[in-house]
Amino acid sequence: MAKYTLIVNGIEQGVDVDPAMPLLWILRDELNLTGTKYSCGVGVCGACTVLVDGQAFRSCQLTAAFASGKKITTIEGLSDEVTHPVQQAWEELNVPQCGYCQSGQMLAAAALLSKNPKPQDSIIDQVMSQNICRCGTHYRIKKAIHRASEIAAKKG
Amino acid sequence: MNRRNFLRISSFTAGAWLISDLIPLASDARDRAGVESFMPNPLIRIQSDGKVILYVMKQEMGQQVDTSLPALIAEELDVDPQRVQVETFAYDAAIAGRYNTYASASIRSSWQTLRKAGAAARTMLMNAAADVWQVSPEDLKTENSKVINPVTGASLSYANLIEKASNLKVPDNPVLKDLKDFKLIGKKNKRTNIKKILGGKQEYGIDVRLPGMVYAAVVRSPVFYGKIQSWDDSALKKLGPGILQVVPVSQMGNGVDNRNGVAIIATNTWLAFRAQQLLKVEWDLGAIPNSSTVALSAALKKAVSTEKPVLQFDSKGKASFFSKITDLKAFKATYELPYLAHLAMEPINCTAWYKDGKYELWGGFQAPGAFANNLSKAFGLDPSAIFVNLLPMGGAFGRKEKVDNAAEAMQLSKATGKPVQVVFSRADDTKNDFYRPASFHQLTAVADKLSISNWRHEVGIATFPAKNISSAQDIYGGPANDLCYPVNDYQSAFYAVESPVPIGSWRSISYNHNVFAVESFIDELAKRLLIDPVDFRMNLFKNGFDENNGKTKHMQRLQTVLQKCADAIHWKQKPLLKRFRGIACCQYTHTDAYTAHAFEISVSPEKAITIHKVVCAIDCGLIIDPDGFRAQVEGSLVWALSAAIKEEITITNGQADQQSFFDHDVMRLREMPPFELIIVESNENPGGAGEPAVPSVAPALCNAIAAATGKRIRMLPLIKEGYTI
Ligand code: FES
Ligand code: FES
Repeated sequence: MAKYTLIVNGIEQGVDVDPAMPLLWILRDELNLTGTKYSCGVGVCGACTVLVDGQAFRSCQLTAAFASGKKITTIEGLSDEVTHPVQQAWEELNVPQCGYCQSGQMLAAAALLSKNPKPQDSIIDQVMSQNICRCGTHYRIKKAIHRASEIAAKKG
Repeated sequence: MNRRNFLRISSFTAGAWLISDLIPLASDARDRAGVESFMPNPLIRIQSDGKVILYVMKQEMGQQVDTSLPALIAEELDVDPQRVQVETFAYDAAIAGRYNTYASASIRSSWQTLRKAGAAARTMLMNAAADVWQVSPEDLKTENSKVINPVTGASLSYANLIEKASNLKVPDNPVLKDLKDFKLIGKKNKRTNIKKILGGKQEYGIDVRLPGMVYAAVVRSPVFYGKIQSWDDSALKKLGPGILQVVPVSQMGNGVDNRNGVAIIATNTWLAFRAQQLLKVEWDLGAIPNSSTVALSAALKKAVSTEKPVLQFDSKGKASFFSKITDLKAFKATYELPYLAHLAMEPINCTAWYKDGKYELWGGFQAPGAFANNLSKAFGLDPSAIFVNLLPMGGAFGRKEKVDNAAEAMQLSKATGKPVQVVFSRADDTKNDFYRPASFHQLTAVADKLSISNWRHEVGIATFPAKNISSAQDIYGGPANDLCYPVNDYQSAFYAVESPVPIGSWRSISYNHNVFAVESFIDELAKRLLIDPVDFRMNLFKNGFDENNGKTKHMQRLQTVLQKCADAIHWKQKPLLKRFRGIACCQYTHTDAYTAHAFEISVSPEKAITIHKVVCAIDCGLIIDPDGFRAQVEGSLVWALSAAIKEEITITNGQADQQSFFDHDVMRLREMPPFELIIVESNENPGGAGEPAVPSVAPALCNAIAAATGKRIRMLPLIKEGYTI
């Protein structure tokens, strides 16, 4: 076991865990932040995506050692009132079906937009094809990213 | 009873529509602190604070029943949509079957009843207001949770009428609104739970966290009927004190469908998964029938060519004999389809807590009826000893009709005395699925450009267990006797072959087999008869059905979607150079829905497919929630393309080979083609939305490939034939 200090959604949290325990499970099983989802556990689906210092990472592939001291943002912390441009666009276009993959989708989209505020289709295709959705919200995700980009531009 | 905190429930015995139909007599009729409420029936609670609570009995898995079903009540009740709150109807063992959610049936089966529930409540509130004002209720109207007297301009809010209304009789035949007066049905309605999803606050089964809860992973028998011989957990020691217990799990049979296994109880999911890798179990696998994909495929073909069918149909239904076509002019073709898994994004899981002889469970289930009917029997309990907290599902697609996970969690909670959450790893989920069965189709027909005189559809299908033919035939994939084209002499036959792996419902059930085979064959016939495939279908439709049992109407609706789909892809105009088109249609008789898909594609010499456009035309009757409906059809396209192009479960030693998205790829965002959806306006009864737009996708695409390459696709998925997207 080892002690780490994690800064999750702006709050410092001490954890005492096996150094090999992935961030995904620290969030879900130790900190009860269950908005970050498990689906494959091996880095191939994107359901567990979180932001670390603003960059999208698959939390099932991160160790506490890597994440400690860095700013971790989960879906619960993307905005206070579900008002991040991505969340607004997702609501407007009614993107989710079952919703299970969507926290990962939204965080991947948020990271994309922060790097590339007006992404072209080809970039969206490339980035968002790494996240799996079995309900088939593909079309709406693509539209919603363009819409989020507009909303963010207006907010300035 | 405290006057300020009471509940008025109308006599639930009134209203024949209520008793005979979907709405239960028992109800979630609990007092709520601080408000008076009136429940004219178990699905509606009108509170003195102006809030109206509508209850949903169907299980949410992404199909948005939490929006569409309440809209049906709210429409007739004329409530202020801003003040409506939607809640799930708490599980009640006495009526467990009514929570079942499959076959795209939620709206179809309950839409009139839900409207009547709303209309009856509204009538009672109007009668109450009429009594206050001493006028006739016919002279009053309702709007935004108020009864209004148009003559005087007076109004009374529903909240102020609940006491009076609750003393009135529930009307037997409440008058329903005229379709043209709908304000919510068919309009874009606010999605009830979307903010929860967007904020990461929606609680799925896997997110349940209870005080003192422990986590379990199970090493399950690699084959369904395998038995534990011994196990060795010595390697688990190095994982430390987080490993709490190792407990065997027994197979229970009886519609419970779990396997024998050995569970590791740990302090977190990750540790349980790690221990699962280290635990060694010796199995007695027993005899495995047709234990590989190759053996099964051979057995299916052999059955069709040499055995007697186990079931046969003619155009009227089940028949007593089957005869092959011997005419030398007959066309013949065969098609083969693989096992398919579900891979919902939320892996299978369940949480159980055994206390004082009773079980409380948490999870997402498509068939809560199984708790009262199967699990309680298997555990030797009264159905009331099991209570389930029904949670939304992170995808289901037919897989979550099973309760194997619940049986495990219940056994483990009893063994540990703690609340236990069982989580299937992704590999567990893929390898312990109930698969869409593999099938082999042989079609034979005598036809000319104008008609088909003789038609035979023979299907060999993997059944499990071997003797269970009925479910395999109807639900999972056997031949249907509802061919949508009129033919003179129709017969179909069903040959059962014992499956090495369990089978189950898979989004669009038997249709995804049969429509693929039939629509590929029709295209093939048209090519051989040198007639355009749309013209050929239209010619066939012209022959009409003799029997007047609804088939003619089905056919007309199908014909309309086919025509609209063909028009939208400009079927009659030549495509650009090196582009080719394919079309197919599907009469989804189970849920009264009609769909056609058309593709425009090109195929490179290296077999890389580029899809330039897909059109879908669909008639699903009256549509309650158009945006949710569109989402279902979009999702169906992704689902069906994924299966047609990429997905297959192969079997070695009676076990699925695949385990996760790295060896079982699915459709990605960049692979989705431009898509046009045409919804045929209709006032027919609402049909199902979740499934009917799946089956015609694969044959339409494969018909386009045949047009482009001259090569017929006889086997899915396409990657197996070397195609890429
Ligand atoms: S759970 Fe981390 S990528 Fe799938
Ligand atoms: S919305 Fe269900 S998996 Fe994406």
